[in-house]
Amino acid sequence: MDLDQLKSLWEAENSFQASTGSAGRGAEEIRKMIRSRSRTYWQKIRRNTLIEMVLVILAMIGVVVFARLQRVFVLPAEWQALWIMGGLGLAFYLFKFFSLGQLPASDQSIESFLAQRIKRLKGYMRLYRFLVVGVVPLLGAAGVLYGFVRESVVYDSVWPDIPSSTWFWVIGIMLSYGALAAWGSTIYLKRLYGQHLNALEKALAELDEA
Amino acid sequence: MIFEKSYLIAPEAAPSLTKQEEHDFVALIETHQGIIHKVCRLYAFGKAEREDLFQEIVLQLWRNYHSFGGKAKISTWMYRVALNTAISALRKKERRPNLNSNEPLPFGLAERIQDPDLAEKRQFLYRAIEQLSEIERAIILLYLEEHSYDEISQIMGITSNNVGVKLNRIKVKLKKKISPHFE
Repeated sequence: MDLDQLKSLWEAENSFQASTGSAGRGAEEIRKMIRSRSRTYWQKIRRNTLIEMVLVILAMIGVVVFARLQRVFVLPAEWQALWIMGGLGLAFYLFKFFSLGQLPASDQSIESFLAQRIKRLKGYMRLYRFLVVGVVPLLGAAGVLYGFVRESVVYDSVWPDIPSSTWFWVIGIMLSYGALAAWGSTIYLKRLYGQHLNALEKALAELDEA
Repeated sequence: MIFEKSYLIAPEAAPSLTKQEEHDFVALIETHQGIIHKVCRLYAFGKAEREDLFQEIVLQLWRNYHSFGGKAKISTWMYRVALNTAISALRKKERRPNLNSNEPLPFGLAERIQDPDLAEKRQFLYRAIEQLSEIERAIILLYLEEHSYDEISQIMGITSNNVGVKLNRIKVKLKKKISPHFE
């Protein structure tokens, strides 16, 4: 069998009716399709990011209501810190959402489409890891410092006398968290996006192979 | 680099095209939907998956319609979008029927072919193509659809020489799979 035989076999049933065995899609059905929601993997990631953002906003509102009702905060700076944290959280999710951005246009060559898509997905994963491994431990450290400051201001005391062994533990916990976050986020990202990324990379490598 | 400017672009949105453009687009899809069916047939397995892929391809064609502008051949443009959508769609677990599978061909194709010998050959042809990788399926589909090496190279984004090399490899693979059944 050669490719010409294959071609003639293909052509033999190439009329649309023969190939589909169905009447095809009508205008109304096509109109419905173009008004539907995209169900690509990419769109699912973006939707999940939006859901996470809404949950964070709701949690923020919950904290504000709780703090007001229970009069938790005693210093004006505490409210300011809360707004800053809320703003940073929101900015993080907006950045995450926009970082996924528009899909690379599908009307370019397959090679270029795959390359762009891989680049964008890897960029998203790098951003995610940077935030988990870099930003979250920093916020944790800021929280510990805040505790000390609050203690000294509220009780009008000097900087608490903390033994060096406690500092050793605090730094140890921070570093362990960093390592654990790096490992956990790698596993999490691989599980969420790894299969998709591997498939895209495999296809691109095959395409580029001479 | 973590923060790249190219990531900070506007979120995807449906294009704001006029009613007339929508009408033209729908007519275009009605006329050329055979292309989408063929891509779905080779890239999606099972009725529901095929339906989903068909819809996604139409949606992506619509979203890219404003950039079409008649610059390329309709079929070239449609194959680009359809194949990009099909190749990059994540299927949970690709379930390809094996070569000797008795699973009926899509769209009741087998029942529509009167000659049992021909029906069997086509069955093997489809099953053999389904065994190929996603890239190989794209190349063989374009070849079987009478696209020139240059057109295939433009759609795939590789050189014409590379298209020739890949087609030869695909031919060897298909021959190995189909020949015993075509003797």
